[in-house]
Amino acid sequence: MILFAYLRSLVSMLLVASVGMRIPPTANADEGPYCGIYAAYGAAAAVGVRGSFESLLDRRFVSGLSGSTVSDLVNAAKHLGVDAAPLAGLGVASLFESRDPLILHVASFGQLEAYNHWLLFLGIESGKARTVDSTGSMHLMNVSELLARWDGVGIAVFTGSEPRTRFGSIELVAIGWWALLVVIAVGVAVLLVKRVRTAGVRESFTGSLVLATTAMLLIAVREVYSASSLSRNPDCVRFISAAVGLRNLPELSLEEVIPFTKRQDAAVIFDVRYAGDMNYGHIPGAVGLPMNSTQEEVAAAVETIPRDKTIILYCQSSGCGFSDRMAVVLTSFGFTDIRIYRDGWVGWEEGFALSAKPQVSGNSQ
Amino acid sequence: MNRITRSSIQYWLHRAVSVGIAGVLFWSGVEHLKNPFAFLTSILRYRIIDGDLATVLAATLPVLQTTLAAMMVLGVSRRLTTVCATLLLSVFTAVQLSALLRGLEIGCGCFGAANDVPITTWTVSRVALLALFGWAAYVLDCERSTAADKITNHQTCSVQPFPETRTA
Repeated sequence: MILFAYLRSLVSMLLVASVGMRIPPTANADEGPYCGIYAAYGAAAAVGVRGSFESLLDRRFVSGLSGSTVSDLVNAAKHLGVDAAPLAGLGVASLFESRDPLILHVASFGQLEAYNHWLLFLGIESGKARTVDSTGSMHLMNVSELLARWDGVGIAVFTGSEPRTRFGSIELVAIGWWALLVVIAVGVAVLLVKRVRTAGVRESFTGSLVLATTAMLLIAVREVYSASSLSRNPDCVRFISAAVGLRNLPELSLEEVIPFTKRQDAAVIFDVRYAGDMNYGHIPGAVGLPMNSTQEEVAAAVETIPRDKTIILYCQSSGCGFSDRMAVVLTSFGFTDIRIYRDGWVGWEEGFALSAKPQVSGNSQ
Repeated sequence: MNRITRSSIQYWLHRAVSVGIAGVLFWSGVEHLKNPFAFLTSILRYRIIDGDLATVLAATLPVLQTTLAAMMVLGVSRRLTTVCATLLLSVFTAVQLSALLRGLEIGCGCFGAANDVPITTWTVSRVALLALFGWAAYVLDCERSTAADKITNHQTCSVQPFPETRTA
């Protein structure tokens, strides 16, 4: 028990000591530098302390244009009248066991290029993560998607002297259980291989058998029993592949897009430029889905669309990357047939200017 | 007697290096098991293998790492696991070097997302040094066995995963 307590405090100390130094000021480019203080304000409210949000609009809590640092947010929490502890090296076990609000250091919605956002996590409900993103309302997110966007850094917000959740112990116990499982699996594999080993078989071969048997046993156990295994979250794997840019999305030419504008049941065309841009014209039948939409807005826009429906995305011109980013977002919602009209609105206008007037409709669907 | 003393020093040196490498492998494996999705992202960022293969690798590699670590610490198939761990570290060195030469500005993905650092000559040298230690451990073990075999007239440098061995 003494050893365990010592290890627990050592892990907690390491977790806390390592985090503050490495996390740069963090902000979402689309939402400005305030995601951190929104999360701190929300976390304080979640533990029953209502402060003044306006008082957080201060350089002490948003120390740069690029957003808040870990210590900014710890100070912000203290300013609101609650305490906060920075943590690092957290994993899925901490998410499931957490009884305190956590401000998580994540990648922005729809991308995995950098961890540049703070997101409020409020626990697990029906196997999904309860999250609040900046000014948005509470959203139930797949744990796998959250894990894909999270770097394991968080700030626990609590009242009293210490968090209700012992994150150090949780991680230590999770590691301990895995180590025990591995040792047992090695033991079982050794016994199995010894039993079937026959005379004349090379010793290196039996050693390889032990290694392979153990690994297979453990992989099977993990893939069957862990809700956060890769094989049980194919949507998330698709999202990661798309976000890292390895999934080559089909691109359409102007001639290939035109038939879809005439048969609108064949595909849904999304205009992903900023909302105001649609007023200057858009492809007939296109639906506005601005790139700066929140997760809730995207969820509402795609709620009734079957996930196997063809989705066509376009933005301003071939130099605009919004379509690719929105493709990643829609992949995370489970859409499997996403195509990009790369030339965008400029290509559409120019294409029609050569033959006839562009077919501009007044309103989106 | 002198030979035995040297042999025991070699044995303990081998054990120390093995346990050190096992510790690194176990830490790395456990960090990846905590968040397999972040590990998958790290693998894909190297742009060496595609989605399906990367998914299989992300699911199996951390398990393999922790298994190897446990076998090394427990002394099961000592020489084989040393060779496997060293090969693994050599592959890590090669892929990091390849990313560095291709100018990819990515994290090394060595110890999970929270501990990620960009690939530099330091990260490459770090893992290369570990691989070198692995080979040294293998050579030490071989030499020790050879010395012991000379005394006991046993076979030299054969892989012995279990204490007792049957012969035909």
